[in-house]
Amino acid sequence: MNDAASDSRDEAKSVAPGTEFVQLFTHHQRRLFLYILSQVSSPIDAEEILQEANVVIWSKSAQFREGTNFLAWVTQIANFEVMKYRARRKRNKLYFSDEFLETVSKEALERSDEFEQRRVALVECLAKLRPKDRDLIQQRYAPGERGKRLAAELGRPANSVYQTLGRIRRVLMECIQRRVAEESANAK
Amino acid sequence: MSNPALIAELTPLLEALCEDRMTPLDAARLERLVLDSTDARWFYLSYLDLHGSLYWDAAGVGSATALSTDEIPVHIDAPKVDEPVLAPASTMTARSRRLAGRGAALTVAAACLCVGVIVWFAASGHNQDQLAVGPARLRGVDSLNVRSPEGFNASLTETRETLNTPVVRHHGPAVVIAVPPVMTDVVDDTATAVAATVPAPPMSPREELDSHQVVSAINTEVRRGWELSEVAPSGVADDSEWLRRVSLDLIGRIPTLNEAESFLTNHRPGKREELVDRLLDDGAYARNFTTIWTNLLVGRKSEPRVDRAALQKFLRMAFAANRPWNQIVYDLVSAEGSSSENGATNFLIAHLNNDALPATAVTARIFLGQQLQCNQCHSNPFTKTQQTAFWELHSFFSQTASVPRHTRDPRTGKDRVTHTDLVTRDAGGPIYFETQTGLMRVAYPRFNGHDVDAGPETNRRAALARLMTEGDQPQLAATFVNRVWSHFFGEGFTPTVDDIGPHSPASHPELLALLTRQFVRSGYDTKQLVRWICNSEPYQLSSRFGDKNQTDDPTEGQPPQFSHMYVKAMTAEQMYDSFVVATKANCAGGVDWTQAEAQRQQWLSQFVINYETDENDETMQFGGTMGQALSLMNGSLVEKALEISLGTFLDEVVRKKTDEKEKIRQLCLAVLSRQPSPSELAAMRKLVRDDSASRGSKNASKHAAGAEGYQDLFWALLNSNEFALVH
Repeated sequence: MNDAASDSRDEAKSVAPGTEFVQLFTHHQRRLFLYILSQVSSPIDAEEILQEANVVIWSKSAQFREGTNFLAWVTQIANFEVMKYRARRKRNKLYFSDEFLETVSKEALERSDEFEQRRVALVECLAKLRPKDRDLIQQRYAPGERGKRLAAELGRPANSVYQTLGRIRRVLMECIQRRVAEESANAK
Repeated sequence: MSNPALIAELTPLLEALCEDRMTPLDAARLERLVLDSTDARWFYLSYLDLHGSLYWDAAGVGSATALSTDEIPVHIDAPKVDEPVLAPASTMTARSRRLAGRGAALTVAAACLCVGVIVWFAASGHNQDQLAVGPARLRGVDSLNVRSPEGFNASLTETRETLNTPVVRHHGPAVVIAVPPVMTDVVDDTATAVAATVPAPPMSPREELDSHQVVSAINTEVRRGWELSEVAPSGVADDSEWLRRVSLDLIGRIPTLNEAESFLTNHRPGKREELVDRLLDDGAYARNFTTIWTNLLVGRKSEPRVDRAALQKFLRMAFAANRPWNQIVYDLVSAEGSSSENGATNFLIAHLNNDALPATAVTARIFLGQQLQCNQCHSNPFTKTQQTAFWELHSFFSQTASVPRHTRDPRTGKDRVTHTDLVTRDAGGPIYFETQTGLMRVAYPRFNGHDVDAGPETNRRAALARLMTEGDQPQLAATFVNRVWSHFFGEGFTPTVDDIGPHSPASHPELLALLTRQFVRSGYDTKQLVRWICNSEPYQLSSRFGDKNQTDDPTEGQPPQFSHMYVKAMTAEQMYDSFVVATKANCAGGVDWTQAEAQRQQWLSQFVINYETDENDETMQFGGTMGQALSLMNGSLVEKALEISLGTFLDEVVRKKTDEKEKIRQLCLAVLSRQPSPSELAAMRKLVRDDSASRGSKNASKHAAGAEGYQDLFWALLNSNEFALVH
């Protein structure tokens, strides 16, 4: 297989990815999405970049060496797609500098394991939300929702909706924080 | 991470970032903080991790396995058709649609919308206990051949009984009716029927309350809401305010001068109830409800095939005779024949464009309070209705067609369309639709868990009409109750009046359930429902805020508590008709009724813009301000209104041998249905005289007004907000 990959690039493209690759690919989709999101902050944009990256990852599957760090490999590809996205958006607003993204993405990759713990905590914390708050969060994060239309749909002033969403996320952050702290205390 | 000051500074910045409302200054500040400290960096990453996780789990981009879950049940008694799978051509269409459509639509994601949400629900676990208990697994109801009436009835009873056991759950003060057949395992239960997702109010106890009991039950429920939300109601509206309101709501116009005078000088107790009864028996009530429902059913600007007058005649007779609502709906859904002879056919004739897709969307929305239009293309993760639900309902309309009929005009020798026939064709079999992944699927006629024979000999629309309207139909009833309530209060129980379901909790779920139940018990008696509402305590209240109900303001996003009357803008029709009542402008020069009606339609049509969507949406470009109305009003009408010429109201007042005060009083009463206060009266007298003097009125002096003065006063009154609003 390695021979095939090095001998001819065209041939490498046509080789179907192996089972292990597919598993790794599937398994890391979420992580990769969150990695991209930490740099672009809009879930919808992050999703688009993820799809662009997926196409590249898939087409380069033969270049991946089994046993090496898959996440490190795909995040490199994602970084490149984020750069392309930023170049496209140059004229629109970009919040952060390249230096910022580099620092943030490096840290995100290094501490990626810690996020798994938070994910479990989030599930529990969501269950503890007031139903009304949970509904609002669900609506805010509905597929394709950018948040701007939400206020109009709810017939509420935009500001009050943003404030409520901010409050709910604050509650969730604190709850996750507490859970993670409890977990690590129990583990000791 | 334990630096409260840092968190306090970061949090608002991150909130702004996530909602894309950050200023460059904020961004610079956030960047600095994050680069400077590890703590801040970690907090930033955690926050965005939360932001992303919420999206990922809600929107369900992830799971590739989701692709296989959009299964469709195959129906037993229908001719089976093998599903064409993954035709390359359809994949192409799906792709181009994705590209053209929502910017963020994704190759994998799109297919998984609903599954992600299931993952969300399952993972968070919060809904499991709530939903798993839903008793009505409508799938369990045997498939049924609707052609036999006995079979139909038997099966309907069965469904009714399953529906009779709803789950009511308390979440603190707000009570949510958890609806029985919400899916816990959507994966194998994709075909949840259309009707099944709407609150099924408890149908027992079975006793029917009398009118007074219902009114007092309304009062009790609404008062309970006041207590829970800690508001105190405003005072009772005075007779003028209430008379004007009830007239506009019931008969679509302000009271005439005579009506106002006789109501205000009447001091018998119970005069409000008497007036409600009298107005309900007035032909104007039927006309008003006809206007409202014509607009809802076919829009203000319907396509030329629609015989609007015939539909109005059908509705006018139905409302005047107080036909049960379920029968009216039955007629509208099952109608056949000529657009001019059977007015009910025009509802569907209006919606058979675009392969009859609007017929499906509008039927579900108007009668069943279900917003299915999105399900045409994808399953809806929040209402948990599946794409299939749209197409199953849609397949009931697959035999329906409208055929224009021509006759030769003997004079010109040309063909002329005289009317349109709504016909049912002998066609059978399923209909086809495409999922977001480009798979072709089939859908058979199925409603609320009932399969209908898909053979060509079944009249599917008649079957649908029966399934929708026969017996206890909580969903049909709740949708109507909510709409009528919202007509009178300006706010329904749900944020969107025709979107009812577990995803849209009602402000007063018990009250909605109670009214729904009693409405069904009353035999879908529209006038009875109106009586309950108009005689209830909240309907008597003033529209002014009191000291203790400032928070009761649905425009601020609060659920309505009905602790004061919410102010409504007049509809264009109310505006026109009230203007005509106040000014008698239409009587100037003596036009007949047909001419008057043509004038009215012409005036109304200026405000409407029709969108050619699959839901036949249209927009009323009418903000309800009098200035707007007057500026658009056809010039001659306004001119006539202010003319002092035979027949107009202004002319009558000016000519009458009454004194200045009385003339002003009458103008005020005619336009605002109330007496001017002493200070208003003084101000108006001054205005009238000054104006007359400055305009050089012939007979005016410092002490007596001329006609021009009254003209200006009348004009000013008609331009006031008080005239333009329903309060």
